[in-house]
Amino acid sequence: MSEGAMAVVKPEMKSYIWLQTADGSIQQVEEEVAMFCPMICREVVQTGMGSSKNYAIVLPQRVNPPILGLILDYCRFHQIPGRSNKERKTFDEKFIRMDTKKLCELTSAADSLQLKPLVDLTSRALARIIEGKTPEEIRETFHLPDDLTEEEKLEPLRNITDDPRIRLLNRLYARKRKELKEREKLKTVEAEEERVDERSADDLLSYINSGDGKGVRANKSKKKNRRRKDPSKDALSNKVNGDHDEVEAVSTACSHGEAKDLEVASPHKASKLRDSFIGTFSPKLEFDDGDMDDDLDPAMREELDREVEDFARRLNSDWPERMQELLCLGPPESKLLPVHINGTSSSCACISLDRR
Amino acid sequence: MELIPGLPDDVARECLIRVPYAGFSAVASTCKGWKSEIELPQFRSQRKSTGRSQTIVIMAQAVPDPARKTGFSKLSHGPVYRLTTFEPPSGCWSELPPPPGFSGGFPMFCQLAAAGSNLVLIGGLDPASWEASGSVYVYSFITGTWRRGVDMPGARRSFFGCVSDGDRVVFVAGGHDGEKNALRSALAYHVERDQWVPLPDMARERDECKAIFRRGKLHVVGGYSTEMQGKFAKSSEEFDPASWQWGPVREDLLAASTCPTACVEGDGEDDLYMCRDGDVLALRGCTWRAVAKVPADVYNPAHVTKWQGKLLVIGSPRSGGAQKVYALDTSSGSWTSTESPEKFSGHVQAGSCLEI
Repeated sequence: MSEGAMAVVKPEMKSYIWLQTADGSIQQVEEEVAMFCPMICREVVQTGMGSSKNYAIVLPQRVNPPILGLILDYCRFHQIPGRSNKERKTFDEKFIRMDTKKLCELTSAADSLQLKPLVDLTSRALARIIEGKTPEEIRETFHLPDDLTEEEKLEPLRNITDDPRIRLLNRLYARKRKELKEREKLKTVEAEEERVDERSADDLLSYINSGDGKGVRANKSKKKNRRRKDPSKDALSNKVNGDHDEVEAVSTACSHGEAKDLEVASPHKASKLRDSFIGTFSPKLEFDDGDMDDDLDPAMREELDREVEDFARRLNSDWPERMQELLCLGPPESKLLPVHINGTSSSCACISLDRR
Repeated sequence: MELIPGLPDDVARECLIRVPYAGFSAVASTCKGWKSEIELPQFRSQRKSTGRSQTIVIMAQAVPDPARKTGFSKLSHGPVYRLTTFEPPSGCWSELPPPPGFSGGFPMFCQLAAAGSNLVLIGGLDPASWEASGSVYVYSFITGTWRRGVDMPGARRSFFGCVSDGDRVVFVAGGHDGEKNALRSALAYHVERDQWVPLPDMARERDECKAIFRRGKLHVVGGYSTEMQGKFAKSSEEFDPASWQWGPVREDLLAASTCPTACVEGDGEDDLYMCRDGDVLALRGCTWRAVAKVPADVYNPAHVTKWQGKLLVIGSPRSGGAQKVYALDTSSGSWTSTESPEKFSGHVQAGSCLEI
């Protein structure tokens, strides 16, 4: 007969559920909000508890008052059926913004109340936190022991540009991009102003040689090679530049139809290699630089001859095979006519500077 | 010792399985408890069963040449390849660190296969010497590190068919040796045991064949014999690992003599999908039917793979162009395209899908 034994009927006809947290404090919560938690729902339905202060539902230990408050905020929002997915998502994103410790407590509490959607939300948030951190930071955040040996602590290879070719490539590309941009700029500038070039041939040559970036592309890159060769005896960078030159040479040979003198081993493989090599060639192989080359003075020509000879020598016996490869005619072991290049400066010069 | 202090272990596990795979190596380096947890097979299976796993496409992709876009397609050197990953739902592209020891550059025409949470890289041609190698490198997505496996025994083969059973074994079949003799031998590599096991020989020599794993059996499709260089056969053979035997040769599996690289395993009732001459064809039993037309952008795809039941087609409208990725829903016949960022638009040479 006492008031506590009877259900309290509030004037506004709202029902409340009484909950008790681990510290002993008791509070009342709107029925629809509390029933959103499966654990509370089961207690009410199966045992009839929660209808009054004296029969408050005892919540699991992991649920303390502040955390309960958070959980009830979550329930209060989500138990309203009319909300759109977007609204719910926005709420969730704001909701989980709290420090890691609280997030852990919340995950644990939500799990004890069997509130799966909240467990999913909070554990995803924790997973994101873990992903963004180094092992050291993770240990600090979650108070984990540093008990792995040095070998066991793996050093993931974060430096993905370990391949020296790729590193060099990136540098070359950056330079080329700049070059191309300037070329474009120059083109538009020249189109606008009809400049009459009154400089002498010598002036032009020295201008080109100064490598201002507006000069002859072929020469400029060969100049790059020269510059790079001396300071750094880096065989690799030389090789790459060597490739640069020999491919230039080869592509010229291609464009002048020497390719048709050599057999094709396997059409498919040729096309495979072609796709990966020649694919990046422009089929027309326009060499406006070619014209410029013919205007070179003998001194420049000689330098270039020497360069090409150098590269050919460095490539040694690989040169004929590599030439075949680069012409996309299959690997060396296929039965092809050997390409005779005697590696002397004159023949090499013929290939690279031959402009028919 | 709890996985995460303050959280019950099963809740902590919920957090760990939600960590995106990029964070796995950090998890494995945090503490003993986390390392052993993430290496358990249950970790991966729980991720899969709760739908938290990520399926990524791993590719050997060329570093794109910035000159290509502006039309100055003068190639300065051979294309350099590296491993990239693509996750279709998020549209995320990233790079994998290169295997140690690839000082000369990434091997050309190597084969990739994904087994369990490992990527296996087999063979390929050394980009400098063009020699075929039998090397095996295994990348663990759990630890984010590479290890060197036992070399492939027997003849140094290239252009062989390679596929994994998705879990533990990688099969290798056919290809050609150093003398361009087509091979009929086949092998299996147990990833965990780091062991090669020979299979009985196939009935036919198959150079440039395609290996497919479907319904627990290895299918080797197409290829050509030593005498028939480049003339692809239409037959296929099936190997049953349970009985350790090859079935009878199935003539005329492929309707026409064509290179089988654009074949992938089928779904449901369909046995095989194939891209040919701008069409996507499906084989069911003995009949081929057209399923869809390949988008004009990727007329001759560089790479075809299956991703979560969809057919992924990667290619470019013309040689050397930016690669595009299209996914086909085979049931509806509709295509969806994905933008690939400039950095990841290079030519794709090989690829594999992995669920992690």
